[in-house]
Amino acid sequence: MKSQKTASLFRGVTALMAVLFVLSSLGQGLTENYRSQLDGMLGTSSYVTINDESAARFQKDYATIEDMMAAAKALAIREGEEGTVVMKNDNGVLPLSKENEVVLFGLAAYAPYPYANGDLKAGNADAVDLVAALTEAGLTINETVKDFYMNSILNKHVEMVPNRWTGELQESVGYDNIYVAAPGDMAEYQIVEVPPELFEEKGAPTDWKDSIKAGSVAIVVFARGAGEGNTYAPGSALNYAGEATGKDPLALSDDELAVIDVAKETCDKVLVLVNSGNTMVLKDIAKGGAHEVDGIAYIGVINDYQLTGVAKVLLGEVNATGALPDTYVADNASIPAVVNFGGSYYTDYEIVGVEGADPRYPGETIVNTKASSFGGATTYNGGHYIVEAEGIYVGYKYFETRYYDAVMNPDYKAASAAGATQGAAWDYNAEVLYSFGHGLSYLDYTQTLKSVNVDLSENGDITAVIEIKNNSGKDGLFLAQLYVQQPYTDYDRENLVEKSAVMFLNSGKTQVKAGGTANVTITVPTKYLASYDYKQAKTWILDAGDYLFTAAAGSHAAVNNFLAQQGKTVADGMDAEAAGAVVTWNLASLDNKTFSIAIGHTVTNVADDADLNYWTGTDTVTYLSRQDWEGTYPINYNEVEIKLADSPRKDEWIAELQGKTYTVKTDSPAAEGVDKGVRFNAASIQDEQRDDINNAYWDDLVHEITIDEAVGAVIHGGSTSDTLTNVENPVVVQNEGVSGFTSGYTDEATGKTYKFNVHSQTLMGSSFNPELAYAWGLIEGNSGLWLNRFDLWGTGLTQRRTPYNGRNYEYISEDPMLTNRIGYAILKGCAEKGIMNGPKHMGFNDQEHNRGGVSAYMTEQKFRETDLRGFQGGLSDAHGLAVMIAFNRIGATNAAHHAGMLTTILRDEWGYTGLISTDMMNNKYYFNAESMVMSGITQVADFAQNDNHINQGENGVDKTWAYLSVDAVKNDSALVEKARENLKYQLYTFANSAVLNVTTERVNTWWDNAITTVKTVSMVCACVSCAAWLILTLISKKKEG
Amino acid sequence: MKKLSVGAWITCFAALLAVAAFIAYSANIGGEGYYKDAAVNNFALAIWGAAACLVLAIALYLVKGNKIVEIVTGILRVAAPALMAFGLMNLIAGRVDGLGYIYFSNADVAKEVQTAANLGSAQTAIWSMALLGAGMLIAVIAAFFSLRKKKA
Repeated sequence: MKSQKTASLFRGVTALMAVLFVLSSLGQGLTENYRSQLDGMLGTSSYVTINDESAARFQKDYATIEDMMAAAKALAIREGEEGTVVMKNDNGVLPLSKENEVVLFGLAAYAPYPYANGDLKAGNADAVDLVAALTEAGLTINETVKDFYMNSILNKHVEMVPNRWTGELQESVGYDNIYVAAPGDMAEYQIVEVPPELFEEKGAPTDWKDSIKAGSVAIVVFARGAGEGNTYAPGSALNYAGEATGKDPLALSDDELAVIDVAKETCDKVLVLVNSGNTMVLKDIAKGGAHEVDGIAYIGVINDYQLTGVAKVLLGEVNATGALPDTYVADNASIPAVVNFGGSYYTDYEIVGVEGADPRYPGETIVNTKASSFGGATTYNGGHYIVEAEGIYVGYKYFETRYYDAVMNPDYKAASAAGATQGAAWDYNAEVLYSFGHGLSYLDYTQTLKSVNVDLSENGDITAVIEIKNNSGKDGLFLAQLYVQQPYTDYDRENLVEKSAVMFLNSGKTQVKAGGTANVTITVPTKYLASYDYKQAKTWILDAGDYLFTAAAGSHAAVNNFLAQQGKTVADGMDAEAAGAVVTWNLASLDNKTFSIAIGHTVTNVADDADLNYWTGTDTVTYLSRQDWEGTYPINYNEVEIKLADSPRKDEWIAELQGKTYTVKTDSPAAEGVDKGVRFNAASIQDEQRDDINNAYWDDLVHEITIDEAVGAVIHGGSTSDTLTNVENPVVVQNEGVSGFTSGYTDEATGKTYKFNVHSQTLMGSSFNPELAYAWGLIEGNSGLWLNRFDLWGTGLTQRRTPYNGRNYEYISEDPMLTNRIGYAILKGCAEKGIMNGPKHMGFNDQEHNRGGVSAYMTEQKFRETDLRGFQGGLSDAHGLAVMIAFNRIGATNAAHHAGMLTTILRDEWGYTGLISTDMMNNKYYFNAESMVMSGITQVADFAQNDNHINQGENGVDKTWAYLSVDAVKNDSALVEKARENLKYQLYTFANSAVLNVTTERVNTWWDNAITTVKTVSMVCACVSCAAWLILTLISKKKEG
Repeated sequence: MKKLSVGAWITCFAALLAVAAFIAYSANIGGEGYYKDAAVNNFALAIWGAAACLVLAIALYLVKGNKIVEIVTGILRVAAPALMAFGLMNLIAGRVDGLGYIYFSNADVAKEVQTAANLGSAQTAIWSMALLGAGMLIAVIAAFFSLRKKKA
């Protein structure tokens, strides 16, 4: 009996232990799910934050601030070395010899653009100007000319000028004579270049010419300024005396040409440096020009240190490897995009305006005139439009394709008069001075395409191997450029799928020993080979036929390679024989499948209404098609009568121009946010949350956000992202600018301030080197880590549609693919350092003039293949973390309202998960809050802080859009949920950035240990007691037996 | 029935509590309120498994009392509370979010969420847990007792 009793005891213990084991095992999983709540209740901490820098997810690459600064400076010098483009080099003017004295002419020679510190120029104490750079390089500069230019003509001094934004007077660098740094908003542009006839009047000694030694080389520097809100106006030039000349402000003025002439008179050779982000008209000084010079070099818009690199190129210390990112023409009027530029009013634009009839703004009179670039008027600003009738034919894609067709396809009437500015018939060599990709190398070399592999799959790459042969006796760096020609077929002609005869794909550089060879392997995603067919397939297609690839020193050399491969010679009209290798890849049949699906999403039209013909209901616009250059060459549609009232879609059109892209619904109650204790912190956000935006954590997090705050946080995104009540995310401050963080780092130990915004967008573009761009991205990222600033509007990727845009200095090129590859590399480098670098201004910021409202009409092929393609590399391929949207309209739709662009393309097709910001919200009648939420904007840029609510106005309404309030939106579940989704993307991005740059380590709390102990002990006890029970049961039975 | 010991009666009671827990659970997912149609994975299997173990143990013992039967019934009596523990933890995992939402929301939300139906739903969930927890404890206690009556 005793053994029986003992057996029962062990059986009971076994049951108890089994239960404890089950409870502790399952309980362990359960507590894992509610760890943060248990920590809160029990006062424990499951995570410890490791603050030492070695544990940070994003690590600085430089041990000291001096090392950081040295790396930034070295990169800037490389931009000068690799971005300087030798455009013309005759009579051995380059490289310069230290034996010969240099004479500097032109105001910009002594104050290169930009001369003022700011977004474009860091202003470090050791910044190098041209005089210093050339002197340090060992050149002797004529002191007499230098002296009268610097001390008499320029006379640098400090002056007080009003701050652009606040009006407050502040110290600024001033000169007695200086080029105009900001051309204004299509205003008259005075070219302030002191003509030689005034030198002596301005203080030059009468015998200044005598000071110039025989054999001297003149370096003449001309600049053109630019700026936000600025746009050049064709024909707006004034001369030094302030008289209107009727000339193009980007062409050299008579005063500038007079400086050239005196340089030619006094020096043996003349070299002109082009110091501008806006493509200048150099016909007068180019080959055959009335004022032809020996050499021309492009130096873009410099920053603190680039001129050291420029000087190295000029002296031949490094090989010249820069190439032109834009086409240089004899007359800007030859550019088809220039025909439709600036914009004008619809005939009856006034009918969009209302007198108290807009239910959002009862009682208010709202007009439809244009506002200034900085807003401020009560207007829908929907009266102005331009028609981008040139389609994909921007820059070289127009000029080279027309040249190709003039030789290859006479039926296309490429040689007709349409668009010709230099004669009765269009002639490439008369119209184009320097082609895209042109750049002279000091060292003789050949680039030969050896192989091309095309992986035709959604995520496949084109891989090309280019052999560089250094035919010179010196080691050096060389540039390889890869181009392609897609087949232009009957299908294309029938369906108006336009194809450039040559398309840049990518480029790379390599060092090659004297007399040696080296291979450059270039890759680019295959998807960029596809064309968008907006009429028939309504998706991306690859035509059947031969795809020709070649390596060439510029787009023109490439197109000549294609012509030669197709059997053409000079006798057929080519301007030079060509023998560059061409590799053919053939596609047997039309492929409208491979790229019609992107990340599981069907790709089809989203911008039919960007076409003006959609609204007019007739073929009002004829878009340029290469099959008929004469018949389709753009006319100026601002001179065509466009009446809104005549449209079959009149009401829809007017509503869109009034910003009513989306209207708040009232029949679908939204769920209020519920605090479930989920928080945005390092403990909760581990790798599995960071890796997957679909992780349940993110939905749980944003569904804690109240209706008031969800909508409010999006539409008052501000220049600072505020902390959300139930989320507790850190405040994230946004920073400018395109050359790097404008904020400086002050070393507390030394008191010295370092500024890292030393980059030059223009020289990066002309470097044609994505590896250099990646290096800059890493440096820009590192500087953010040093500055503890993580969100930056730090590059510009808008296509340069025309030379006149005042923001071209912030952008890379006229070519979407060069922009794409440079953007890819910069954003990749930044993302690897956790920096949210948002490129500006996605969605056709083609002009600053009336940017806040002008409608840009275009085909969907242009929509997808030009400006957007420039952004795709950085945002999609490189997984960039931020983007800023353009001010203007796409069609009649505000770019920031464009759900097709922001949600369908950016989010769905490109898989972009970063934050999306508007540009400065400057007009509440133009920027519509609910439409921005529904398009996918994550933060509307205003300047306020701690305003992430829609109840901060009088009587609890929104402070900006007073028709919005919690009551007004609470019955629109779609709006509220979209706002939460937008914030989900934003918070997800913060989590993947250096905002959350700490490592956390999970530690066991006392209750973790208790559960583990119970689990282990109960398991052991259960086994032991079970065994004991079985043994005793058997013994007792034996005894009974 | 006179052959049933105290241990057997306790075991029966544990089985009844398990059944009662299941009835409460059925009411919970069948009635109006927050947990309507919110079935819990493996819960029915665990409950009916546990009840079956207990009933089978008694039945076997009533039929015959030898060494094999004693070991088999012993295993069933150990498995039953373990299954109940398994069911209980699954039920808690499936209900804790909702209980937090209903009882611990902030005041504004609580006004909307604490409806009679939701509170009733929460209460039946708690009842189900309590009954199952009690059943589990009773089953453990029962395992300490023999099913056989002491010989006179």
